[in-house]
Amino acid sequence: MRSRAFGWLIFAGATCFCAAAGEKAVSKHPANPSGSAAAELDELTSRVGSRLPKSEARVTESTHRNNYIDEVIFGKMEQDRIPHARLSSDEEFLRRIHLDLTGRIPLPEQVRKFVADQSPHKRDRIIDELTDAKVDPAAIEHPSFPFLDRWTYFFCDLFRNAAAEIGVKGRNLFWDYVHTALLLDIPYNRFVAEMLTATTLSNWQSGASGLLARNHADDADGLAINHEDTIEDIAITTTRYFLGVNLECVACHDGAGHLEKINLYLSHKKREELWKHASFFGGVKIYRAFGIGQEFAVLDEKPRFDLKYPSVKRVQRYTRDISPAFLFNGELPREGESRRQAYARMLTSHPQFARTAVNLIWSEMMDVGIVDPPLDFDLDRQDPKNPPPLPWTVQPTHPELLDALASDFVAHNYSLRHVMKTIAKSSAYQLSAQFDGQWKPDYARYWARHFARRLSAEQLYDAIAQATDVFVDIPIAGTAEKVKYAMQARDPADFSGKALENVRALLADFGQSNRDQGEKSLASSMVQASALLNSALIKNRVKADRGRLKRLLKADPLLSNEAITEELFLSSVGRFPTNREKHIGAAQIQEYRETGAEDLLWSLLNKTEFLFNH
Amino acid sequence: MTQASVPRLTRRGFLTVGPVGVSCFYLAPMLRPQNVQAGSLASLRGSAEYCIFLFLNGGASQIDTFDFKEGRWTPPDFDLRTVKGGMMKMPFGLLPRLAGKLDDLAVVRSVEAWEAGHSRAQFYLQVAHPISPARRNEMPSIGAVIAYEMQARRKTSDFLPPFVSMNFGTGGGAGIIGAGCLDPKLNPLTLDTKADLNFVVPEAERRTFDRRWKLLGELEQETQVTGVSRSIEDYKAHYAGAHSMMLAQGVSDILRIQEGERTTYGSSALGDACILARNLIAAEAGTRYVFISHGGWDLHANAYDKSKPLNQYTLCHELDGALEQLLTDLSRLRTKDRTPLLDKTLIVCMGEFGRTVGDLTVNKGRDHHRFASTSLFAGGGVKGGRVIGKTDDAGAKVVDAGWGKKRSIYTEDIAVTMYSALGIDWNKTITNTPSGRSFQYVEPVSGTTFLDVGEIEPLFV
Repeated sequence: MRSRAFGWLIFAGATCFCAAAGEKAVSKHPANPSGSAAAELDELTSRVGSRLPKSEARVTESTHRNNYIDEVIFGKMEQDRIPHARLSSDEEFLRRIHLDLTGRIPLPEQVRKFVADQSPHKRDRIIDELTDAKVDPAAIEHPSFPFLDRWTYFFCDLFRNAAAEIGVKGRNLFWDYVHTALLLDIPYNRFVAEMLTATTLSNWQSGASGLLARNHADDADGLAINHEDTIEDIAITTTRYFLGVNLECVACHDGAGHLEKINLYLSHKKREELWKHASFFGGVKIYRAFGIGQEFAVLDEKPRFDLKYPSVKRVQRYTRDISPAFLFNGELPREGESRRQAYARMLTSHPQFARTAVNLIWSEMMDVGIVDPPLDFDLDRQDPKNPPPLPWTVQPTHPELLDALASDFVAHNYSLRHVMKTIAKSSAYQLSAQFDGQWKPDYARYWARHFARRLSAEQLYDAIAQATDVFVDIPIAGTAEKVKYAMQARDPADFSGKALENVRALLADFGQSNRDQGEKSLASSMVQASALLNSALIKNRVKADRGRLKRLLKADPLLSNEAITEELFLSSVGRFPTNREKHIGAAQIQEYRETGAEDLLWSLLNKTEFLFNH
Repeated sequence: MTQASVPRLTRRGFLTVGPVGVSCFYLAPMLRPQNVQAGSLASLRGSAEYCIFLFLNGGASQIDTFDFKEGRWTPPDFDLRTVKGGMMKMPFGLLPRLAGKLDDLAVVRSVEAWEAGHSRAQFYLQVAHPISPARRNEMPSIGAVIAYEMQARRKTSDFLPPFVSMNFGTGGGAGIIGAGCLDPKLNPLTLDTKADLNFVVPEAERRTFDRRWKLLGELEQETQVTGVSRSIEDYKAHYAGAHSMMLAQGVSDILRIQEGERTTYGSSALGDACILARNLIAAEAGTRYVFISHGGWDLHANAYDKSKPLNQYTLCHELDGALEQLLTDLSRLRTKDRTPLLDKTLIVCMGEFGRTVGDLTVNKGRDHHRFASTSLFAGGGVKGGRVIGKTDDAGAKVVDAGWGKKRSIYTEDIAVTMYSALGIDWNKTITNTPSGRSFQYVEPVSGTTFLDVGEIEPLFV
């Protein structure tokens, strides 16, 4: 009997472990013709109502409509009589806005200051403070500003900036380029057009050329570049990143007979149209200037896209002369315009360009895109006035909001920062993740509450380092620079070497993107749980002889156990403890002194609340 | 097509995972494709219950190991000897222990790869299909297919995950390939033996751990985030699962590497992984497929230079100790019905491709070469002590494939051999993938080349 019980006990756990360990992001096909992805969110959640402290006193009375986002979101809920969550508490809001805008959790003093602030405009103000990088000309090369680090990391993940692919120098320069573009809030259309038209003798000399160089496709021998595969990849990735349409399928075959159930728009597209689209880059030659290594020249040299050249990636092409035509409308280059200039102009001026950008930012801050997955648009399902045939439905949950965000983005000179601020300042963004009352799956598509999601690998590591105040140097390859936060790394290759072994393992366990085939994942697994419960990284950082804990325990005058407890709560979960929590924490410190304080910090790092952005 | 039969996929795993009780094994049916249909029944060997795939990451040089070619480049201390009554020439200086284990090993020298770039070739090796950008995320690996097929043989007392991968992290390339469009619970448990094995709480820390767990419970009881999102509920289930795993004595023994044993396995990450693989298989508690990556074989430069951290000597030494001891232990250990474990465990050892031959390159290394490489097979019904296939004098081209088909052996054939040995009908197709493209476990075609795929029969007779 005993062994049987034992078996079941483990069975319950061990099978879990294969459920999500190592899970990669799933297919990019939006294969759901009837409902939005947002509607799927939480569809099976039945238990509702968090017992997190509600700090009622600080909750705004009614939900104020702060901007046009709220008019659409709350207007629709009002019209359909959908109840929604209360506005988030100050503590809930502050942790969220810090994580979303800067990738870091707030410091204890930032929480105290914000909660104590009586100004009615304090939320708007903190959003501006966190977003607006101060340009210090002296430090312009690497101004440390968490907002810039976080969003540079975001775009470098998107563009898969990696030393393994474009060399350490190329990677650093590309990072610098993105960082500077964000620092100066360069209009997004200009930023993108510059990357698409960059020309250089070496990507180790030009950051903007990183995007194209990154898409080099090696030939079968692994040294020469397959020109045709490369330019197809450039066309496919740039169309995906900047127009939100995934052309991978039509790169091998026509959409007809394949994509009818997956993407209505693409089911009418032909492989030849992809070739025409790609041939805007037919004149680009990307090659290893020195024959070996990851240093690439990106030049306009080769006359055209030659279909006769064999593919090492896709179904073989067949011979035919191809001249450029933009896939979305068949537009041809103008007289006197280079092909790449034409492509950049057409891409950035297409209405889908702004829509894709705002949807991507929305998705990153709201967890789910208005169109979701955010880079899988079906262009035949965008217009509510011209709905697709059944069983398809209009793809965006709020088409008018997507258009409004896009127009606003264009009107504000393609400022990404403006979009982020506008979203963050809306009450829609500031709703609580908790929902009072009976939650129904249907509410999800209304954004009737904020959606919680796991901290990314980098966010989590940084949160652990900051909460414990135990940091380790992360040397940036190819520079003399050492950084403290994972979000400041140029790519995962910076976490090499013995000293960072534990950090590297943690980041891998929590689904860090390797910027190659392995995509970023927010899925959970038992391996992750075991890392937080029992890894050397956690056990070492919660020790009483270092970091925050040492400072608190050795403070002069001595801090009360209650005060230590409060400080640990503020520095990890970003809120004051409840009375009972304060009592539990203080009692643990009272009973075990230093060990008890370690226990408390360990427990806080293991609280679900710590691991999630909610 | 009706709405219900359209697989619904989103970019976030948690959206597709059903409600969670204490254990996510009891998830609601996945909204993911899993119907698998057999075209016609393949004839299956069924000689093995388990499989260990030892992946020589980067591509081992065939002519410096098991398809040895002597030349002016050969360092004298490779100590070339003819072993096992003239069966083959071996660099005894590099592989002394395995030279004594040839009775267990079948050496296949007629293997060709389809790809010569790491990322693509490694994907191919794991999935037995060419990587396709459009289908990349939906194609399950061989390991996931084995895990899927072995579900039917899972006993209620089984507590270990079916598919375990070791030391194949996120270093680049394709990385470990998981369940694709199959149920996410078929994803591998990924362990890194170089990092801590976090499932094992050291005895000395047990009290601290229990005290902390209790405190965490109290704090979670007081304030917790519930019902806020599915991902949180999933995560809590994983926490409970991890904790029960850590409490179980049996598991901590399985996942423990004893210092004394490390030495017999060559004191390397590969050796450690082989110890864990042995323990996982010997427990006979649900683990069916173990994929171990042995990194470093991509010796483009200074291949014979002993002053470099990775070279032909160090890598061979690691492989020699780990694989030899694994074979020894598996033949010593018995299954519950008293069969030597090795007889029930198919071991495959190979890289993603071979390496260039003759003199070393200007960089004193060897580059990628897809037209000839060597694979080792052992256990699970394989008859050892033999060489199958022959390359030309340089070791660069297959001249005699050594099996029934008049062509070299490809990844597809190796997959068929593994599936057949495990009694898995490889003739099946997953028809309702998200892209709508059917996924055959093994496709009789690579690119545009028709391939009459088959088991490497001579291994077993």
